[in-house]
Amino acid sequence: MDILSSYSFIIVMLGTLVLAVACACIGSISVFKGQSLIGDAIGHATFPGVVLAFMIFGVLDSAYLIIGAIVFGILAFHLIQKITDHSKVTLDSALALILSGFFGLGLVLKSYVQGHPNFNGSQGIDDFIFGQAAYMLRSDVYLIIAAAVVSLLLFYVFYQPIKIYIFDQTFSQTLGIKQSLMNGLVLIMTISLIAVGLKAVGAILIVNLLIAPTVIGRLWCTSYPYVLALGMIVAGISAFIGTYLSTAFVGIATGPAIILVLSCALLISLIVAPSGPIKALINKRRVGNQL
Amino acid sequence: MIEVLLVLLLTALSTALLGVFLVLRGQAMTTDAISHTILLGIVIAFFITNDLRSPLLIIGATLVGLITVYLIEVIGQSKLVSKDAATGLVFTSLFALAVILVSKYLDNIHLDLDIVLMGQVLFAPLNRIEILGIDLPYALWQLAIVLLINVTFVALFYKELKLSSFDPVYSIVSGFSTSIIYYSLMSLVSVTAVTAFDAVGTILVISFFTAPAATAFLLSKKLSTMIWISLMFAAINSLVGGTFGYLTDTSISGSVAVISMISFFLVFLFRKDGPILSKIHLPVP
Amino acid sequence: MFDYAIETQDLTVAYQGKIAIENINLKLKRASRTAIVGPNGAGKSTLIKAILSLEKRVTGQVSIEGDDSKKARQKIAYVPQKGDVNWDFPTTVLDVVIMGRYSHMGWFKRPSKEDKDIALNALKAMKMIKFKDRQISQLSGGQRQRVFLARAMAEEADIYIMDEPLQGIDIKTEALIMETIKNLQEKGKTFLIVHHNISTVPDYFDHVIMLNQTIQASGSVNDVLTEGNIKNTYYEMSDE
Repeated sequence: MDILSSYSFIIVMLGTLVLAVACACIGSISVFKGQSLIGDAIGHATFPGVVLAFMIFGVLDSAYLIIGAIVFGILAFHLIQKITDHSKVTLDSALALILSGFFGLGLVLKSYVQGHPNFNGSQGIDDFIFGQAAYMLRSDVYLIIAAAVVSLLLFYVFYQPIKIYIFDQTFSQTLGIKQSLMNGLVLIMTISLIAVGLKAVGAILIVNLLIAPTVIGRLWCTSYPYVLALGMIVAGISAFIGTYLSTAFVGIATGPAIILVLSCALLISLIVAPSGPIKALINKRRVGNQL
Repeated sequence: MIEVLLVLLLTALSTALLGVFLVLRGQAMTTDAISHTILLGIVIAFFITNDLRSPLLIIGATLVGLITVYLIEVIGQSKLVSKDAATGLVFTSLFALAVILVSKYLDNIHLDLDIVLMGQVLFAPLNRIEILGIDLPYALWQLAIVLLINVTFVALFYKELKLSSFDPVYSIVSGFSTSIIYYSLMSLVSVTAVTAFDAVGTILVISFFTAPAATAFLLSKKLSTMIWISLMFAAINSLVGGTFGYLTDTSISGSVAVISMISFFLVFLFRKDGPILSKIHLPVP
Repeated sequence: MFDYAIETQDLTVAYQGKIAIENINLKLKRASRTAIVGPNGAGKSTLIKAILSLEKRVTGQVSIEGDDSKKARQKIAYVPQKGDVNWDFPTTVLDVVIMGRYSHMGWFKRPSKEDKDIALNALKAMKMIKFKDRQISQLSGGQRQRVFLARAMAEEADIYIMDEPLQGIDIKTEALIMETIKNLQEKGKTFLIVHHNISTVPDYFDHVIMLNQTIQASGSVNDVLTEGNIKNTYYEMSDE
């Protein structure tokens, strides 16, 4: 059967492609602010939210589970901020602590649900850890598109203040841009994308979609719009190829496949790009030889 | 039940000891990366040996752990990629590769992704081995050895670990290579993570490494105190969490992670200069 | 005895393909106090790090009292810039000063009673003895700098290399530090100090190196610290 025209391929491909492009754009904010791993912590922290939502609503319907994911993502983010603001504990320790504590809570809840006769059909919960794009429904894709459109629209509308907020926080304060508003905006955009993306790529790997495109863009381009554009294009292509590979070959999960394609693009960029670390090493040697 | 708790306790002690230095160096998330990527090492070593108990698995996992650390260093050194971005990229790539290898080629064997993630400490007492006439779970022997190695390492290199974590440049000037210390520490982190991984899984081992150390960090003004407090919390968290999980029949390692987070927040809120006591505390005459 | 405490020949250091300092030829007399001055980005820290072998040099040689600088590390005490350490580290003032003795111990060995006494004496000299059990995060900027200096003194080195030791500290500490340095100089110790305030150079130093990627001028303060040289060092654009 021709893969490219198969219905399930189109559904999954559309979902992952839109997700990857939106993540590439929104993820750039935290990468440039040096907070890339917050996405990782939030990704893991959404898991108990998913299980809890399942326990409350009793159905494995993405729309409900996403609400749980968002609530727990926001909660985790605020706890991380509280820890770093009110103690000497560094960001990375706070991230590790919240990430593992929340994920542990998710596992406790999951084992409770699975051992309990009141809850039926809980097997699908695991899909949110590793992602199970093959089971994505048309409604899942709609959710991704909705979240992507809203966050990209917000990004477009607030492009100027976001840009200043990223590159010069003090200056943005003097301009009267509300920091709490910006933090909240970025948080909502990031968490909603993570939440809708869980089923496609899973809680563990989604952070890659948020970081990799921007890093690739940065290795090739200097100005922010170009970094964004290149990142989004590479992310979209990777999503397409990854989904194709996972549909064409048995036993290759979509999420990991997309991440691997993206990683290959990153690897090539690291080696070939004019300002990558490999070129820098070579340059260092060259200066040495000339003198 | 006692053997299960013992496995948890030994895991907690050997991780929390190293965790002190990871937290002080701001490298808690490097552990996150290592604990994920060692899966790749295990998978590759398994392809070679076809034996899940082979010591080659530990060697493979340790090697991949070190490669992870090295890749993060190399990529993170470039001006264009920050270290935390490098961390997030390296571990997700290697983990994605491992997941695909497992699901494509090892679908039927015991290397179940679920167990990889959350571990299954309840199975630990089933694998038994008799050494010197004492019949104990295999995991217990393994963990006891790892704990012994870690204690020896910290005791021998206490001075060097302290100096290179506090003031790396001065450490180099004083003739103590920071990279030797760093990579030795990270090798032990990898070995410990892979030993712990059967019992507690890849994600929750991060909690074992960092939560007690971060809690102790709030309370200590000397490094030696921090180590003791960290070990104390490791013991409390693992025993309380383990018992809770056992009695409620829920994920045991998950329970330990939750209890560890709760104990951190209790200390965070109620420590002397914390958000609560500093508000109600009376002015000193 | 060697005539020069520190000697460099054609020292060049580059970062990511860009040259930071170039062709540095230095001869530092024993028992001298030398300031390194120059604008931001002139390569002042790079120069001392290259002397300490903390930076890879592209070309050139450094000798410390006639030895290669890696071998001579015990002869040098280094005071880093304040921002370079983890101030929340759980360690006390005395602990930090004892670290000054580590280079004499080598791997594995623990500090002895004698090491502790030397550290306590250094703390006394810096008037920090009553803070010896305090955690370093609870010190003021000036007090931190005193602790660093005490640590360097505990090393009992011949040569002291310091990166902006007077930056952001109170006047009292500044006076105490400079007085201590003078006393040590009289005992034959050599000082090489990155300094940011050019107006205090004549009071605090006897030699000066004016650096902006290359050495613009160097020699005794009276000969070299002229308006023309200052202008050359600070206002000439380098040819990047």
